[in-house]
Amino acid sequence: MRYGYHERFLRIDLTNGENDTFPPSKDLIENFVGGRGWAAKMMWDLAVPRVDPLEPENVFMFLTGPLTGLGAPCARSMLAFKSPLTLTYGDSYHGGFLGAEIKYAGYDGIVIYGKADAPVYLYIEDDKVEIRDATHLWGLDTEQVYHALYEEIGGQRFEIACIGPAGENLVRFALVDCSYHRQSGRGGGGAVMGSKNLKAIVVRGTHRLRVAEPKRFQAAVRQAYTNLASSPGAQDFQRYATLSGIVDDSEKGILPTFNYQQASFEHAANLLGKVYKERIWLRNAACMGCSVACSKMGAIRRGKHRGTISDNVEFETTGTMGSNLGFTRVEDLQYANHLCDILGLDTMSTGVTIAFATEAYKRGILSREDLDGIELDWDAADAIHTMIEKIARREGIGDLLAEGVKRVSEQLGGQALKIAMHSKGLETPGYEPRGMPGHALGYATGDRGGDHERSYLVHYEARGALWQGKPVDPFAREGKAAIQFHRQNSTAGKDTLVLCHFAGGMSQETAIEMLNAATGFDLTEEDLFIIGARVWNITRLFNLREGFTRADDDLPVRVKEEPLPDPRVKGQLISQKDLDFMLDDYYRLRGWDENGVPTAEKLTALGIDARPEQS
Amino acid sequence: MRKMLVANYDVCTGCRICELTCSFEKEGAYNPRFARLCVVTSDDGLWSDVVVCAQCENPACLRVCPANAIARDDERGIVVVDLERCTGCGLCAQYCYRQIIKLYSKAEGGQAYKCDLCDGRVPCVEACPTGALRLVELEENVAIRVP
Repeated sequence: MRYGYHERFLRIDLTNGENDTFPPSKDLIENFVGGRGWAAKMMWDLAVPRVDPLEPENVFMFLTGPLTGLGAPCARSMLAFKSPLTLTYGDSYHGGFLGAEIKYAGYDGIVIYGKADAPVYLYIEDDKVEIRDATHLWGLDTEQVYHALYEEIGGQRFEIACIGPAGENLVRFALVDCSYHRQSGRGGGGAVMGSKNLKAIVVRGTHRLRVAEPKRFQAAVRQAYTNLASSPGAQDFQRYATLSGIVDDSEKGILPTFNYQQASFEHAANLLGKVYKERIWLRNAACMGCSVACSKMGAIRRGKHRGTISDNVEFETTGTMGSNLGFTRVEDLQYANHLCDILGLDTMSTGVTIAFATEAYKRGILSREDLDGIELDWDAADAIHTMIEKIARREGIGDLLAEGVKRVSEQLGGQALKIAMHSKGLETPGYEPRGMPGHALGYATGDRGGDHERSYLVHYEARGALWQGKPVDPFAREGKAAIQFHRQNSTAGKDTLVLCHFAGGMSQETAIEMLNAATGFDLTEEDLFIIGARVWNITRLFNLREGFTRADDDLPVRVKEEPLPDPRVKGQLISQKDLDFMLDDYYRLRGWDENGVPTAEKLTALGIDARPEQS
Repeated sequence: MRKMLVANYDVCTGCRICELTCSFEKEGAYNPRFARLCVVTSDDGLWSDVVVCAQCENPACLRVCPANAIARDDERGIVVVDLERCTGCGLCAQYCYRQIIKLYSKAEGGQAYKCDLCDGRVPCVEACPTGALRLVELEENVAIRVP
């Protein structure tokens, strides 16, 4: 057996209650490494083409990487599934402790098929795998599930993943809560779990994880901690979580505000980390093996929601649900964030969806009656909180909004289509893309839809960072596809180790040294880049098989047609012509034809046997 | 002389680096379950603390051991388990004030294991990123000796 792996996946069929294990192929380990690499390849291999994501046939996976559960800092785990929100390949990542415990239980991942007759949870303790009744947990919010299971199971430490009411109610952007206060938010994994009647999984294990070269591994881990300790970015996360740059982003015109009608927010300073530090946060909390501890646990101490304890609002939540809904008080945003967490909703999609509804109401596209009498408005905290509850429970207007902005806008038609902020159905993240064309290209080409983790060129296009030693012209279209292509591949490569994106202070060299010392591999940075390219090609094949085409590599109408009003970015938009220019460039760099289909030549060069299966 | 680890819960982030480090030091492999200290986080997540062996002045483990396998090593300032003598009865783990003595599985021999401060090197203390763990030396007669 190779170090860093068990070479064993647990497979569970909830329909017939059976389980077994199966090994990964040599190809899966050597050419896809783990995490996102496995997600891409296994979804291609195991998913039923064109399956309805909420049907029992949709496969749902918890996956780890070779560094998960070892002493390596910032090694996380992830979910993979076909997304009920976008109908594309779907994945979503989480920190916390769950992935490590899956490894300690003796598995590299858990592959779940089928649908239980009634609500169940999975209890996994090493080789003991039980499907247990969860009727008593159904309807509970995520916090209640944790506390109920803590009490029910008791004893030594175990980890839990669970869904809230939103997942049960098949809200298309329902999340999976993975370890207390860590979430896999994007793409609707919670709805997939809900569709399987799977309320939770509980896992614990006694396997000892060994590494190929212990001394070398330890040295690499020490280096990683040294990297992180000396990283200004990591220090900033320690102090202010992801919230020190809000005012700067607002001044730069990249902070979505009022459903992306503008990109700067008058009250941005109200939402800074230092405000939370004074009013809400109490302590830093870390995920497994992380020296950064960017998470902040705290309590609301003022107003009607005082006494609410939760972890911190993140940047992405601020950009999609904070400034985007015009919140001016951190307590109101914190409570909205908390509601989403316990009800099991992705804060980002929820924020963008409610922002859409608010603008639609103000423009007369939705009436007060349509909104069940709720006076949605910017900064209208009570109305927004009520709307979050209604979405999670699919009550009244909530039932419509639970479908996400793409479906809602298509149902409403006309003007609504122009204010719906999504790419491929995934609500866009907390960065206004119009002043960052390369970043926008990332939304358009994202394999799970318009998303920050697949697109992030903010440093280069808005913060003056050099790209390969040279300054980047922020608004230029030329050359942006190349940056996006490089960043996408290198990020995907790193995601095969499932390293946290907030471990940016850790050098790529250190990460690869940890990987090699743990596994006995001899991979280089270039190899990881190629592995990243493999990921992007396989997920492309997946999405083509699902019926996606070049036309779906698209941007929200607002981004293409409405110029930005804010000073630094005044007049900026990404027209269809701009997008086409960048797409052509991007496809060429990827070795895809003009329709965005990977060429046989490229696939062969990357060592991929799979070929396009357009249906 | 008595040495002991002290945890400062006010700065503990619950990262478990101490557990991972300990597990690797003692078992040559990673699983915090086998660490000789234990990070606990409150159910609401508002605090974390590290449960450590205090190398007690009045060690319940030592008092209950029917095989005389647990002894105080005054020179090193710690309480140690003699694996040769340990029968794996589990009384020490049962009565440990902080439940920080653990037992190997039957298949692994069943003996008790506990923190021995790694001959004073304390890699857990060294690895803690926030200074939440310290090694302190208590002077003789600081505590009232238990009869």
